[in-house]
Amino acid sequence: MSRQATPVSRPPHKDPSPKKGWRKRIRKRYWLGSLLILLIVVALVIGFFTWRTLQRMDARIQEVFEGQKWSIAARVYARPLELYVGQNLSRDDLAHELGLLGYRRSEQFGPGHFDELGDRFTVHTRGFKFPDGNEPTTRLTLSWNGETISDMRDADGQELAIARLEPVLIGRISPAQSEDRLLVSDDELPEGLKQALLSVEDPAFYDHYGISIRGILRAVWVNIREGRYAQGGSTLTQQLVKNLFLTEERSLKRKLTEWPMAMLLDYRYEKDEILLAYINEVFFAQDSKRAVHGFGLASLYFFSRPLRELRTHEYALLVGILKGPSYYNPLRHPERAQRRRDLVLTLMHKHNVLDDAQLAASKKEPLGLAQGGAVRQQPAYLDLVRRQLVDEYDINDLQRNGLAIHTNFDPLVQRRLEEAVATAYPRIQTQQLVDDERLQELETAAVVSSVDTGEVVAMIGAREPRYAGFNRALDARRAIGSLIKPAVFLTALEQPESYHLASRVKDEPVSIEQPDGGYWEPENFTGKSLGEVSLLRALSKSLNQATVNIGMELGVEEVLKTVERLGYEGEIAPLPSILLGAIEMAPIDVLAMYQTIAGNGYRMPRRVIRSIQALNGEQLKRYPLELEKRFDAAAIFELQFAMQTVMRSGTGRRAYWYNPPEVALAGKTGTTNDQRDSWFAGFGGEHLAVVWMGRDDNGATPVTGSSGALEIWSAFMAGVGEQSLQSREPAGISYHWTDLERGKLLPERCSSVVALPYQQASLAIIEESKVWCR
Amino acid sequence: MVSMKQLATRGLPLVAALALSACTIVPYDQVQTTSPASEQVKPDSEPQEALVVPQRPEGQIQSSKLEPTPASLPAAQRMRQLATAQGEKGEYRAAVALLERALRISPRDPETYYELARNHLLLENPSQALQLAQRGLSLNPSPDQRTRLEDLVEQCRQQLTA
Repeated sequence: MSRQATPVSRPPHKDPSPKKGWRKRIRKRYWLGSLLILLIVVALVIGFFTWRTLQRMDARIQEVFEGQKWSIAARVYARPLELYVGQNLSRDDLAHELGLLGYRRSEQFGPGHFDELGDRFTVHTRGFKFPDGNEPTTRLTLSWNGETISDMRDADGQELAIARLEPVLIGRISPAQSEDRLLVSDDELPEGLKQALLSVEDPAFYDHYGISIRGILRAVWVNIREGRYAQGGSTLTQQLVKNLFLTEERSLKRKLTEWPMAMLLDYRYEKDEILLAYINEVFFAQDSKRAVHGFGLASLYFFSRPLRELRTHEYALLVGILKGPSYYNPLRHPERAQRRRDLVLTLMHKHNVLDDAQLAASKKEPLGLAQGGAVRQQPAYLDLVRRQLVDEYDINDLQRNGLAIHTNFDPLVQRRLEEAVATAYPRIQTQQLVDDERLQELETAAVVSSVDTGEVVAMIGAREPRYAGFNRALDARRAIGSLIKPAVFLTALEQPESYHLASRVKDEPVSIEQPDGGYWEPENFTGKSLGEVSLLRALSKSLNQATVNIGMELGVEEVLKTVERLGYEGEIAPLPSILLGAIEMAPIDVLAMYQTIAGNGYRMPRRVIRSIQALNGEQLKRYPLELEKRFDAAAIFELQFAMQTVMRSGTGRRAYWYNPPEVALAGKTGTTNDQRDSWFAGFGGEHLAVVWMGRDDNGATPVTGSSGALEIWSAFMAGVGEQSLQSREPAGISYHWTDLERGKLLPERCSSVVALPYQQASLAIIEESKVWCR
Repeated sequence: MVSMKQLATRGLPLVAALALSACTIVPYDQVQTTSPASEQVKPDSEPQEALVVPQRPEGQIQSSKLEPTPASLPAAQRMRQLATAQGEKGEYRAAVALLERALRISPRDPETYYELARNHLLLENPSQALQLAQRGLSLNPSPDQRTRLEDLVEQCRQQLTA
């Protein structure tokens, strides 16, 4: 200051003009100059900061817009239904699957349509980008012979070997509270959706620069008239900016940010890119904890079909909802939503998107909402998927990066399992004379896998399968009781030089000293001991004392080794009581053990996920079939023979009340003390199913393994039309007429003898009776 | 309480309907000696009556000639062809995926197991290849398949010991 002031205060000698005027002039100029400088500086500073702000906005716009704009929950898919000649698939099952996929039954052509003509089906598949390649959209014609597909042709009448439907979406892996969306690309938008959207939301979209002066003026006028902040006059671009970059509050400050950002966005990107981003961004509905965003997901949510298959009145409804997603929610306010939809149609007509006839026809259509509204979730199976994923991946990646998880879940098998539960409960109530209250407390869980591959195909975690709570199939660890017995007998049968199915075993009272000095004296279920019985009878009648006697002969440690080799991975204390199943397992653990038995001695780790696919379609990981031979096929063959006897004349007979006698089934009941747990585990030619019933408080139930869990198991096997178990006798097995009462072979067939399979080594130890038929 | 007379007059149609529905629900109960509705089934309550064991075809006990494994359905054969094509391009993983699809369609064809094992061996996974080949051998292969599977088992063993 002082430096600047110095030359001014020193008067020049050579100018004698009046001191006062000169000074005044100088001072005035001084002030003007300072003001100017100040203004320039201020302008520069403001300009600089504005520039910086705009630059920052621009950078943010580019960062968000060019990166992954949204976090996208992982989608979980069922197995795709494969169609081929020779396949056992009822028309009803095919129609059900198509229903889950939202196919329309109609005479029209086009992907997502099907029709039933007499005993033939035409199905126009949508096509799908699978991890192992593209499945093109195809128009199939299928014929049946009984329940088997006998012919399949494409649109040109050419025979097709195989075709795949797209997989049913069964759920998502997302954070508890979250946005969810299904991204669509430009070519997935129906003709006319864009025009419908623009007619209503922003007719001048292709002409303005991100903001519309006319819109703003109109909004200002409305706001003045209303005396409050009512209207924003937003363009689509502004709405997108608001949703993508800004907070919810309605303030001038936000407006001031919104305008330049909208203009920047408009400057940076093509109109179509902005429109597509809007289409993927907008909020449609709140589905409990999940926010449904974007037209792609909204289409599935409201109509259960992909966006590209929506018709005019359907996408008009979606466009209409945007004005007030809660107020115009068609599930809650159908009439209001329909009026709004009709208004949208009228606006489309006004903007020449629809002609008179189209307008009239579209207005006549009902809302056409999908039954139930939401995509049907499968809580128990999803839980299983989630647990495997969490073990192997970062949960954040899963929830945000839009992965596609392809699983082995089979909706058709799941349907039969749920039906079996619904069928069995009333039967149990009638048969066991259970009152409503006690029946209410009887919970259940079940898991089903494929016998040949170990793929887990269906699961319920509760009596009410849609209930997403305690998953008993994975978490209800309960004593397995007699389900352990096959492990005891398998241990014996693996020693063919000592044991075979006709071996004599003592079904007599036992007393085993416990580590605490007490005695363990198990009884049979009936309280009676049968004396000396064959091994076959001991298993098929589930005799406790016989099992303990043979188990003690073999050694508890040996039996435990068998349990582990069968596939149980938990810790077990080697106490004699494990011989009667004093081991707590969840149904999924039991499944692992029985999978090895059903798989002829090959252990197959359970398979839930087939593969994982990135958002761009690339396969990230595949889970191949794995198997490991754990048991000799001959010993397993004898065990399966005994487990079939369980079903024919032992504790599993009930299965044949509902299943045809020609279908061979194998299995085992399990009942724990006071009937706290009712178990059944068994298999046919295709499926292995484990069912548990019991109370959550571990109280006594009115059912045994046979009268409870087996009811569900049997109804399930009847429902899926289970194929007969195919036991091919392995090398080293031969059949011999056997007198089971005496444990001797007979030279010929007599009335009271049965043909039993034997391993070679056993033939040396079994006596051949010299007596002919008695 | 409903008197017997009332039951007889009013309840009879109901009883009849129940009986009818019981017949439709329980189609295979002829073998049962006890009525399912009236008595709780006790698993271990039977006296030593004869056991019903799985019946062999035609009641034979001589080790019958096993019928050969039914060939894969055309769809599974198609998958195998595609797998072979992938294998020739060195895409063994893709081949494995296709073969597993074949296995879902026709699960007990030794040929599919042979191909799976071969591809796993090419993927330098001899232990899994060995298991798959053994599984193939357990499925009643034809003499030609048996020879090939046994060769494969031998190769796997050599690689595993090397």
